[in-house]
Amino acid sequence: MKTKIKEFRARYNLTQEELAKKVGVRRETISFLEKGKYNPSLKLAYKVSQVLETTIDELFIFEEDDL
Amino acid sequence: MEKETIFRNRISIGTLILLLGIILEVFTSIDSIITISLINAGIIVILVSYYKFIKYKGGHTQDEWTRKIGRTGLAYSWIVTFVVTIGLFWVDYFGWLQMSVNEVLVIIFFTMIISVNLFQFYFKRQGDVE
Repeated sequence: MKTKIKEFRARYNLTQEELAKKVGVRRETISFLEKGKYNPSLKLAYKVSQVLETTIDELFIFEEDDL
Repeated sequence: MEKETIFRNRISIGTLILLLGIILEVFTSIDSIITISLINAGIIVILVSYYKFIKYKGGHTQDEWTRKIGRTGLAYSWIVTFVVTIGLFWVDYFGWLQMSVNEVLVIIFFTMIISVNLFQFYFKRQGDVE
């Protein structure tokens, strides 16, 4: 899974720590999300996309191998 | 509950355990292993609470990622402990080792504690569990 979280975060000038606080998770969670290592719940994916004012499918890109 | 309230509650619990240990040690003739354990437990609760408060001040100490890893670590640890318990049964059955109940309990206790921490450490490094 690839994500555009880092890109969107930079657009809003947010640090990982700030985004984590807004979403209600730990900084490490955002870090692993950005690296595409952590598969978030639908709820978390929705929250992140809400904070970054985008949609889930814009933020998370699934490849054939991930499905 | 606010983070500072949680912190205060944990510090209070730690202090109570610590005081209980000290009171039992000074005023009773109870086995010192119990009082030392209580004093140690109190100190550990206070130190861990303080460390978490400093490290995650204003932030979240738990979220879905930590809970997922925590749960999976516990599940794997349960399996390891189960296998160790079966192993202990066969060791006793064939009489390969003479062990007291205390020794068996200590083996199971440390297997649980060490394996859960190892699994959780490993999964945290991996980033996720399937």
